[in-house]
Amino acid sequence: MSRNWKRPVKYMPVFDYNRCSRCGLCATACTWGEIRLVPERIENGKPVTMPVANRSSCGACHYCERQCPEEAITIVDTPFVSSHRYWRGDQKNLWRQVDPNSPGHVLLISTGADSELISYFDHLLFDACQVTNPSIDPLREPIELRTYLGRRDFTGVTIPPLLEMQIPILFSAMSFGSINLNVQVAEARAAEIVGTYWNTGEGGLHKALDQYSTHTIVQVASGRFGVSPRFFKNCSAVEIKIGQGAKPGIGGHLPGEKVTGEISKTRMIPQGSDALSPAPHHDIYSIEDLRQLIYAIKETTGYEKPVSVKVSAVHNIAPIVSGIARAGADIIAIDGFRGGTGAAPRRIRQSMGIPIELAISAADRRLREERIRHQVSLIAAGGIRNSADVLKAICLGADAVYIGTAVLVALGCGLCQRCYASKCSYGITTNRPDLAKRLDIDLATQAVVGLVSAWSDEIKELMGGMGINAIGSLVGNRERLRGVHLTHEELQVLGVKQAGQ
Amino acid sequence: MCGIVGGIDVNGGKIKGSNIIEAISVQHERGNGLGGGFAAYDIYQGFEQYYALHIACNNEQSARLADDFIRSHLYVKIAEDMPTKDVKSITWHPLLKRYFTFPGPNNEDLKLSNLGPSTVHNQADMVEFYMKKFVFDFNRSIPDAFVMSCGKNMGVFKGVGYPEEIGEFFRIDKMEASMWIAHSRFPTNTQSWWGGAHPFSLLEWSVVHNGEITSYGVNKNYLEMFGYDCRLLTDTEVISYLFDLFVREFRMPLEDTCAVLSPPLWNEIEEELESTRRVKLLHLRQYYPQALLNGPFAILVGNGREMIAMNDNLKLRPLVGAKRGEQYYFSSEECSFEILCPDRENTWMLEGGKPHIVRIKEVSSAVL
Repeated sequence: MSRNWKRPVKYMPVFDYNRCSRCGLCATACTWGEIRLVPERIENGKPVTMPVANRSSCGACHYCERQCPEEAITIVDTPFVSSHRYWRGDQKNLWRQVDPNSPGHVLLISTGADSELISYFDHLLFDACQVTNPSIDPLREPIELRTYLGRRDFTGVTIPPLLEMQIPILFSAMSFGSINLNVQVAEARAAEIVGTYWNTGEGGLHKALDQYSTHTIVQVASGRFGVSPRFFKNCSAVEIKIGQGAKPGIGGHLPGEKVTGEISKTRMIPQGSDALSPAPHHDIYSIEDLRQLIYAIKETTGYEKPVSVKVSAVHNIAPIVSGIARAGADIIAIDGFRGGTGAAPRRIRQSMGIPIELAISAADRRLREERIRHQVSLIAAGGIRNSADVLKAICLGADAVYIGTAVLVALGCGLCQRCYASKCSYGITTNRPDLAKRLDIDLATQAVVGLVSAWSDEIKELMGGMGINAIGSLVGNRERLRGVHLTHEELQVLGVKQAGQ
Repeated sequence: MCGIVGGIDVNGGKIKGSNIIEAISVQHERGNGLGGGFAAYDIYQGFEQYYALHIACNNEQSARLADDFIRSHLYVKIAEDMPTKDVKSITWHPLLKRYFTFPGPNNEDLKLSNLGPSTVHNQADMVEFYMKKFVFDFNRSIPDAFVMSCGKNMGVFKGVGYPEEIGEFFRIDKMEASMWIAHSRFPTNTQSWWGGAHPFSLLEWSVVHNGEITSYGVNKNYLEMFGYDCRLLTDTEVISYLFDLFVREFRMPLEDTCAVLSPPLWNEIEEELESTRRVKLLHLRQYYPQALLNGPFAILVGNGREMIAMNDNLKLRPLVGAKRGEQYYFSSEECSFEILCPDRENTWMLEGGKPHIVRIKEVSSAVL
């Protein structure tokens, strides 16, 4: 390796200097240090600078492009072309791992797996009414999306009340620390407006969010951050996080420098100390330990709040889910391998866990075979991109879905996959006050409400086409799905017939 | 499109089979000759305590297997060929048998009756569980044969043909019953076969259905958890199983069962002024979403004591009712009433999601 060696560039901004007004806004907008201003000329005795790409740190977040008042910036993708097709992608990543500036590091990455592995959602198609069965026009007839989650058990055990949702969509766990308070406020407000729940993630519940308690799910994870009487009081349900789709079996680590005042108070840890979430809960080494934690929480909350358990979709998901149901969980959330993250080792994100489509179907089937499916609710998470994905997940056996990345995209997220860096130019996954204020809470709330209401309308259109007017009639209704381009085994696991059959 | 007709005399008086045939045949346009059938109640006087098995077998071999199977599981009082009459248009029919049976008193299977998580309330329940299990086992294990009906003092007579042909074939015109339901089929989802004709029946429950159950997948998944085996390749059978599950096993009142199967809309529930009823409706819908029937339907359900007429909550299929004295009639079309009760006092259109339940008097007072 030569001394003046440089990694090849992947993305970079290209400037149209004929349009550029030399305002310099782009250099301020870019939080990644990709754009610098260089002196061009002296005009009226003042220096005029022009933006130039550093060719070092662009991740294609597109923030500069979207901020430029003259529309003078284009982000270009400059694929580094090697003649070796098999090695192309990994060559670049390997070079990053041995970069002289930080040699020998584990590659970190954010959001969900972006590999080109099959998306089963894309291979599933809905049924529609023709002749024998009238389709329903959602503009004329009511189509009901109201959903209740929780335990429906009549065997005499004490059961908590059900969670009422006006739509089968909840906002997924994203902690204060991984995202900032502005985002959580927007989520909480939107949840209240549309009638669903937002999830605090493992970072505790900030005091400012106590007022949204009727739409809040709090999360107890292996770090037990912020778990307190106030936390249990100001929530509608409690979720125990065992795993996360992006990094099954892996813990979390919020570096000490990010544990600033408010985060430290909310997580109830000293300012500046690393917030470590161990890979397993140190008191859960098997299912009977989980049962103890579930019942400890139920006792604490007086059996008034449903307890959810969130697990990653792994090979053995069906028996795991059955065990969790029998351990007393009221709701089970399964997070597929496309599930998002604030930070995960790249290899874990890209290659651990299984797709949610297969996992939810297998879990639903196993619970039915064991004749306990009706007793618990299932939530599918991980890689839900649009309203059709929502409905497909429901037809495969989910009662509702969690969306996380979709919410962030609604807030502007450019999906540059660098949330871990805490430099989010959109002010979403950063707690730097100067960046966090880029996110307008009112506009953000409006965007999330807009996302949900648009998807609701689309879901109603889809249901109307299928001639179904209550969402409950689609939960696990694989009859309304057909598969294309799938193998016999894949169809079998999904429980879906081949199109044409 | 299908046609349905039902009639019930609340005093237990008899309605003539010939009238029912004519009433369903005037709806000729609603069927296409690929299925017709009748369920008649209170027709086997003197044999009330026996389960009347109506069996259809495609060939001699399956008939033999069926006979062995029945005799090895049940005490058989009478075994006979179903009385039929040759009808020109019915060129083929399965071998049709009728057995009057009862689970034997020393039957080991009965003691070990295992039908999933069902709650057995008493000895009578045990016998019914056993019979139900018998029917599912029969349909599963005897090839080319199926149980048309298995209730006490009732029977289903059905097949491929127009209902007037099926009626003539089974000599329905000679029968009289206190409760009838009849069906004329225009199949759209599944092929036509004798087992696919309506009514569908399980123990005393029988159902005729015009429409399509789009929630079939959900209902089937739910029923399978309680040991019901949906093998008849049609969406209608789930209706009879759901009634059986809720009314017999869960001991839920019929009105509540109807509110589970075809509940009011959420906002209608919230607008309900009477608070006990509001809470009840809310709970029924919250806790049993898998039993909700979705899609367009008009159904008639009978069990010998009650008849239920019900529409989907959007009212996407026709259903009208009529009353003459102590007799109630329901039909897809009013024209049937011109045959059954031209002198009726009252005719009404059923509202979507508002079931109408008619009870036979003596029985209902005995229950109360």
